[in-house]
Amino acid sequence: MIFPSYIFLLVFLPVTLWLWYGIHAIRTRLLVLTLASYVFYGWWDYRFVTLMLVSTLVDYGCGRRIYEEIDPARKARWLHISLGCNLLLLGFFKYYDFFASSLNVALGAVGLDVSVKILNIVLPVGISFYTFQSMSYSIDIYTGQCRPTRDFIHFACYVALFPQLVAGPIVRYRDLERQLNTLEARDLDLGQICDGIWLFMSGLVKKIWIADALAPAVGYVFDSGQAPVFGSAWAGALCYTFQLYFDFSGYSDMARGLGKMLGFDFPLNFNIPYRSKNISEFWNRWHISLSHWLRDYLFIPLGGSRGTQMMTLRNLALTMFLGGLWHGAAWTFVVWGLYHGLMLVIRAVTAQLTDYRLPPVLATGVTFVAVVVGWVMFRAVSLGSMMDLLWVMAQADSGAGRAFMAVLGQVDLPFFSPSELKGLGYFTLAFVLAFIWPNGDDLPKPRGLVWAVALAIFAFVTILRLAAPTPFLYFQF
Amino acid sequence: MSRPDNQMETRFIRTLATSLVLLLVCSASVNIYCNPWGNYGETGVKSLVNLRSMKVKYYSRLSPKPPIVVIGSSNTLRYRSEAFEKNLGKKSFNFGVLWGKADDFLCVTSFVLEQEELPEIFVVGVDTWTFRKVKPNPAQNLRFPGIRRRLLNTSELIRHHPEVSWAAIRWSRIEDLFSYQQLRTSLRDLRSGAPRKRAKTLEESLEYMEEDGCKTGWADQFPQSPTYRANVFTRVENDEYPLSQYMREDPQGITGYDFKDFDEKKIDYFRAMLQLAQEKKIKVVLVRNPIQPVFQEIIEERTPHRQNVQRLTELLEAYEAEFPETVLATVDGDRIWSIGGKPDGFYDGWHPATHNSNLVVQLIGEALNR
Repeated sequence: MIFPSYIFLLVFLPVTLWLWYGIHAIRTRLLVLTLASYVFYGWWDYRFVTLMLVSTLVDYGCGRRIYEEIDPARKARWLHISLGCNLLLLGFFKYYDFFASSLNVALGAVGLDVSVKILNIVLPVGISFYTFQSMSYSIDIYTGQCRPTRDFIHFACYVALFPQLVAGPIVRYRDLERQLNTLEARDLDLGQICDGIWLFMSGLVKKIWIADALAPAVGYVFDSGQAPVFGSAWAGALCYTFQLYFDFSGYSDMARGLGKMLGFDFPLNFNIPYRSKNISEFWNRWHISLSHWLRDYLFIPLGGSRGTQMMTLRNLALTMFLGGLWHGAAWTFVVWGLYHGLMLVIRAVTAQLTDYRLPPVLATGVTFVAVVVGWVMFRAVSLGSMMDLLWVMAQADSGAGRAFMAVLGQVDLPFFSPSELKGLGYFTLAFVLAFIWPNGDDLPKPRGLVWAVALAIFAFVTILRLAAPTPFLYFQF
Repeated sequence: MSRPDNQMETRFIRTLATSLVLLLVCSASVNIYCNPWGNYGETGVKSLVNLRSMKVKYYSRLSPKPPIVVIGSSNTLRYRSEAFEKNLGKKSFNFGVLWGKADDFLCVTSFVLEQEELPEIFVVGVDTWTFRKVKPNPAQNLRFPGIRRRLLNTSELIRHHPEVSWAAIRWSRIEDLFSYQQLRTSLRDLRSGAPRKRAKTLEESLEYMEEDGCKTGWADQFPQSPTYRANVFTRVENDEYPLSQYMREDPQGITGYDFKDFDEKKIDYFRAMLQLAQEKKIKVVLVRNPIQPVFQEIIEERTPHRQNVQRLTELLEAYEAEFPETVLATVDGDRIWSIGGKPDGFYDGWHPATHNSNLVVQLIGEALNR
């Protein structure tokens, strides 16, 4: 089930909200919310509900044992069990086929007639998110940053909470613990619900009206098999830059909006990232929950920036390498991660060597172009096509304008038939909005009745456009 | 318990919810009232001509049922019982349907084989696009890409489709209540000022088809450019229609043949159809429908048609080899040119008119009588 679908908007959400606010006993409310979240997850594939339940049981049990053990070695052992189970799940379902096929290629290259069996494993939706979420729970208990919950329903609700289950934000238990524990004491906050409605609508608009409209243009360049040229490659790269941002930040807005409707505050996940003036700032604005998770649970335990410069650079590169691999089981993601690691290293080194800083507009432009180039690696279907695209992007030709417009002619305009000129207009709008659309906290959320009617009309028109549910791009992670 | 100073928020939420619900109810009401695709029974502002539905009802009541059943798209709609009687001494019923593809064939076969009286022979007319991989198209139900709405709304047929469940169809009709596609079509029907009337009854269906299931006059409703003008059906039947000349001046319909991939699912559906026929010991004749020669030249030049024909030929041969006891013959419709086929004997590039269709049936007769 995905948020922009009839079944979610017309059935699941109204019923869940009605049950959530209709039931008074807190434990019952949490149980119902947990069950609703399992229904939400199981709608995609019921078999993988068991997987999530097993992960939840293991981490709940390990969390309590970590906390109760006094012997440090035993504490560590329980932590290793928790991490091991989560990484085993993630590793098997997400990476087995990737490493098996890569190994087969390598074995073939050295002339060995041996092959590892490919299992064609189906990737459970959201596994990267909920395993990271669960691991953060165990690690935080081990480091003393939070206490385990004695209530299994609390924990199960935290892991399965449907707004952020399949594509984040990655919420840490310590961020949600107080909110879960104070549910009883809190009054119904209609202001928060209204904010949630606005945030949800903001995300829905980003996804349906912008991301989905740009998708055919992106597919035209990356998936059609046609040989790219300078103009079409840049058009595709830019369209993907905005498609990914509006798709993913749209999802995050919807997740946070739904959280608010239920009375929960999730952390901000995107903060107008394309305004960044350097790559470090970019990673503080893009998928913030993941970058902070990587910082706190990988970069810092590796030593962070506490050691020598070489060790800091090594830690940066390793963190981004693993961050790239987290996104997907393909060498293009690894290359993308290493590319960002390299950029962070360059940034760190230059920041130390000189105090000179580019003018803000130029810095933003340079960072933006560097990020766009990275997205080409991220989106390419293979290393070969990635190289082809990057190569042509560096070689301007005379037909660039024509080729650029041909790609924009593929933009799926809402309620209008496609044309190159309209596509250019829409693309320009997406470009501008990517730099000015406020993040969720700064988004205006008026309360007037005229605004209520206007929002209803806009929601209705958006619902008309839901004819075919399209998965979020980050579902594949 | 809400805070006392939440009046503004309460009014906001109530107004939003009420307005949205009202708009959704209006959309649903308009769509149910207009019912442009027949999703909601037989009511509607305009009558919906669903040939699939008509033929299902008609065939159910036919008694005795003819020993030959023609299955195919509109390209087979002039394979007449008269011609089968002349060449094979047996009557036929033409179950050809507009835009019929492999999934229609499977559903029709399953339906026919459910009847008490079974035919002896299926004559299945195929084209390259019978197996075409369909791209999702805003005109279709996007939950079931490639499946015609008229098939989805013929319950006696669609229940045999392996990928369409009862629940999924009903849910898709609920979704259609709030879809832009249906709302736009409903409003267009309202604006056209057509009087409100029921869809054609079984008895009135004979305005759209003959007793043997063939269709008359329908070519006149095809979208044509100004070059082609009107009264196509009558003019073609009277040899008064210079189609080859029109085709050279203004070729139409090329995109229907411009595709590269065959859909593995459709290939499987066709195989399942033959499997069913085999189980019930029904014989099958496969016919590759003929194409207008000028049109064929054009599509061979501009599309992968030649390769698709090669692929289709290989596919039909493979089916013949897989079901040797069931597939009696494979007939190449393009052989009509050697027995008196008329180049202008088509309503457009791909619909053979009566004379050429009779020649196809003659070829079938020759193949079976050999």
